[in-house]
Amino acid sequence: MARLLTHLLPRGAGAPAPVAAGDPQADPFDSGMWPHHRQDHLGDPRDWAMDPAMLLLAPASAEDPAHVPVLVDATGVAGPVARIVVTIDYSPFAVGLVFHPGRALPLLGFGVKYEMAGAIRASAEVIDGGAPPRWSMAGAFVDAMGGGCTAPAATHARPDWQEGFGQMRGRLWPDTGRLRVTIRHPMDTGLADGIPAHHLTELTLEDAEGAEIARLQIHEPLEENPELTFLLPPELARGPVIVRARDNIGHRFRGRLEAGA
Amino acid sequence: MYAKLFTYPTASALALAVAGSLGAAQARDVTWEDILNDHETTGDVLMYGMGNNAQRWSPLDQVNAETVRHLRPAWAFSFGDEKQRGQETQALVHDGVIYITGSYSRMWALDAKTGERLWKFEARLPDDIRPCCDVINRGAAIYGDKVFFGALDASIYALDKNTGKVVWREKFGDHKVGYTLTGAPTIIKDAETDRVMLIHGSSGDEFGVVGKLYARDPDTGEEIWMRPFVEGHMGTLNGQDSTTTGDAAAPSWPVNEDGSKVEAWHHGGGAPWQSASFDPETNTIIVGTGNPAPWNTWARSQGENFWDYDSLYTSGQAYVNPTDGEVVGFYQHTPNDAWDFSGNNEIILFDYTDKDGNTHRAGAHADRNGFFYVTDIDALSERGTEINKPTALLNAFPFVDEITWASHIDLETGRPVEVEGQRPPLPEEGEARGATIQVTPPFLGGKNWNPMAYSQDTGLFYVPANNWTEDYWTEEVTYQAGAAYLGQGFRIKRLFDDHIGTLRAYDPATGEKVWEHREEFPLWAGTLATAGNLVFTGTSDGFVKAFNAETGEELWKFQTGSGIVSMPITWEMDGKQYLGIASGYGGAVPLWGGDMATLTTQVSQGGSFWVFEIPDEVLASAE
Repeated sequence: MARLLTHLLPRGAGAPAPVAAGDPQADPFDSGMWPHHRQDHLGDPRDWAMDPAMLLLAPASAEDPAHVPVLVDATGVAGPVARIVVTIDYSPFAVGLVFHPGRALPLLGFGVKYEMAGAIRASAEVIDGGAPPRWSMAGAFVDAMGGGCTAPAATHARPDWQEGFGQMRGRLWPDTGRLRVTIRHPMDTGLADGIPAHHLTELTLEDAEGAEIARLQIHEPLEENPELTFLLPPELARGPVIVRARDNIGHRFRGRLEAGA
Repeated sequence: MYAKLFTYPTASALALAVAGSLGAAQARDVTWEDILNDHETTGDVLMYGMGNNAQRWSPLDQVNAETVRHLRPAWAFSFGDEKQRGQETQALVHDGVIYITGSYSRMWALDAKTGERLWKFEARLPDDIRPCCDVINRGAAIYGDKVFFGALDASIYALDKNTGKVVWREKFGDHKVGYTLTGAPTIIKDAETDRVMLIHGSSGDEFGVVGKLYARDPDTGEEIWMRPFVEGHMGTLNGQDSTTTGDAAAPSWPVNEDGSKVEAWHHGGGAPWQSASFDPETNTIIVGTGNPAPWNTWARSQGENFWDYDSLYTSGQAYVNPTDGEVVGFYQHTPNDAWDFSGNNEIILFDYTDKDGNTHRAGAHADRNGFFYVTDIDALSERGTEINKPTALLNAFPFVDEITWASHIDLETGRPVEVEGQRPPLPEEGEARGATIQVTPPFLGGKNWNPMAYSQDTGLFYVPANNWTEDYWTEEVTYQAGAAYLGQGFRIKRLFDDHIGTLRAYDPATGEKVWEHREEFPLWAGTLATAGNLVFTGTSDGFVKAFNAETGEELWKFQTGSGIVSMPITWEMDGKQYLGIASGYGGAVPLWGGDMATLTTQVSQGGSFWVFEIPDEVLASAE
C-alpha cells in the first residue's frame, strides 16, 4: 500500500526520517536511551529495523515545547500493524502513547510536550499470521528549548480551568477518511509544582454498533487539549463514529461524530 | 503479670506467617464477613470506627499499662507535596497494607511492615471547592478489591486497592454551591436484599446545602438510593423519586404569609458529613445529621415561635432502612438548633446496663451541645412507627463544664430544657447585628467530630472534649449560592486560663466523670481504647499520648513534629502489636478558633503517618 498523506507535508516528499545506511539496527540519533526503551517498552525484540517505509514527521525545531506536532504513518509498512508505540528519548515519561489501529489505518497525527531536545520514535509491531512479531521503526530529532512537561498547563493561568473541561470537537471527512478530534484536557503530568497528575489514559473510536474501531493508550507527554488525527477506511468514514475517553482520575468523556459536509 | 502480657499467641503467629507467603502472589479481597467481624479481629482494621459498632476498641494487650513505656517509632511516612494541611484521617489495615487518606483528597497504600509506599492517588480538584473547615479527609472504606474515599469536589472514588488506579468516580453534588465530602464512607450489607452497599453523606451546611445520605453499588458506583435530611424533601430509589423524608408538608419548618415554605427550608442543611454506624441486628444504618441552615434560629421560626418548629431532621441521629433508604427513626439532640450544634458526631453501639440493672442495646453520642446521650437503638430502629422518637432516650448528662444554653435534658420528654435568652436575638430596628450573648459550649462544640472510644473492659467512654465558650450574635441572612449561609457571627473564647482540651472518662449509666486529663490546646484527635488498659489520643501540639484507662494517668508520649488531629488505630502483625496515627495540624480550630489563634499559630504544619511498636529486643528480653 502506498503511503497516503505524508507526501503532502513538508519533509514528506523526498526526505523521509533518517535511516542510517547499511545496518538497519544502527541508531541514526546515537541516543543512549534507545536500547533501554526497546527493552523496557517494546519487550526487547530481536527482529526490529529502522524501516524507510515507516514515517514519523516532526519539526526539526519545536516552536512551542508544549505542542510539538507529530505525524506517524505506518501505512507503507509491509504486513498488518498491531500497535504503534511512540517513545520520546529524553522525556521524563518515555512512552507518549500506544496506538492500536484495529480497523483504522495505521496513521496517527498528534502533539506532544517536549521536556528537552532529543529523538521521538514510533515503533510499529507487525503481526503477520503465525510469524514472530516484527518491528518497524522510525524517528526524528526535535530540537527544543524544553520544559514542556514541567510547566503548568496553560489553562491553569485561569481560575476557571474546569469550565469547558472535557469538551470535544471533531470532524469526519468521508471522502478522505480523515477524522480529527480535539478534547479539552489539561494533560497535567504531575511534575508542575502543586498540580497533581491529571491526564487522559485512553481514547477509543467505536462504530455505530459500539464495536471498537481503534484504541489509544495515552500517557503524560500528550499535549494539553490534544488534537488527534485518524484515518478510517471508506466503509467506516461514512460514520457515525463514537469517541470515548477516560482520564486517570476517573472522568469519562463521550462524543459522536457524523460525517461532515 | 508482666511475663503473661508478653506471651505470643504462637499458633496464630504461625498462621500469619503462612498466610503472608501465600499472600504475596495473590492479594486477598475483603469480604462482608471480614467487615462484620472487624471489631473482633486484631489483624486488620477495615472500618472507620474499627468496626460497624464504631467503638474504637481493640482486644490487643501486648502494649499495655506496663509495657507502653517501651513504645518507639517503627517507621514514619511523609505525605509530601507542598500541601500540608489538616490530617484528620483514620488508616485502614488489610493483608499487610495500610490505606491512608490525606488533605486535598489524596490517598496512599503503604507496606505495613516497612512503611514503603506502594501507590499514591491524588484527585485533581477544581479551584472553587468550598470546604468550610479545611481541606481534610477522614478516611476510606474497603471492600472486595477496592478502596473508597470521598473528594472535596463532592465526588466519591473507587480505587483498585492493589494499584491505586481509578475504577469508578461518581460526582454527586455541585461543589460550587457548597457540596463536598470529607467523611469516610461505610460498607454495610442490607439483610433484606442481601446486597452490599457503600454508604456516604455530604458536607456543606454552612453553605445551605440540603444534606443527603447515599447508598451505592460498590462495584459500579451506581446510586441505589438517596435520602435528604430536611423534612418534606424528596428522596430517590433506583434512579426515581421515592418518598419525601417524613411529612411532605414539613410542619417542622415555618411558612411565608402566602403559605409557601420559608427560604431556609429550601436550603435546610442536616448534612450527614460523618460516618454511619450499622446495626446488623435490626438491619439499620445509624448516622448523625448536621445543623440546620442557616444557623440563625429566627429564619427557621414562625415569628417568635421556635418551639413548634424543630427543623427536622437536623441536629439529631437518624435511623435509616438500607433496603429503600427510608428514615425509620430519629432522635433530635437540639430541636430548632440556634447554635450550630450539628448532631453529626459518631454514635457508638454498645450493651448498656442502666442504674436499675436493666440492659439495652444502646447508642452513645457526645454532642457538640455538651450533652452525652444514651439512646435506645431498638426503639429507634422500629419500623412502622412515628419517625421522631424523642422518648427513645435512656440517659443524658453534661460532659463539659458550665453549659449555658440548656439546664439539662428532660429524660421524660427527651427534650432539652433551654435557658431563656440563649438564642441570639434578632438585630434591633436599624441595626446590622443583634445584641451579643455568651453561649457555652461554642459552635465548635463540647466535642466535635473527633471520635470518642468505648472500653469493653472498663465500661467507660473516653471523650476528647473541650471547655470553651463564645460570643454570638445574629446578622441579616439571605441565601446566595456558594456563599456562607449563617446569619450569625461568632467569636470563640477561653473558658479557663489553664486548659481547653479535656480528655474525660464517663460512666454512661451514672454520668459520673471517672477521670479527666487537661490539655492546654483544644483536643481535635480521636481516641482508642485497648484491652491493655490504655487509652490513646493525639494532641494539637503534636504529642501522641497513652493514658491508663482506669485512672487517667499519662503513661507515655511522643512528639510527632506537627499537631495531631487524626484517629489512632492498633493492629497485630506477625505476633506484634502496632499503633498507627497521622500527624499534621489543621481542621476547623486554626480557621475559626478566634482566641485560639495565640495557641494554634505555635504549631507547625505537617503531614505524616507514624507507626509505633515495642522493639524486638525488649519483647525478647521479657520472654
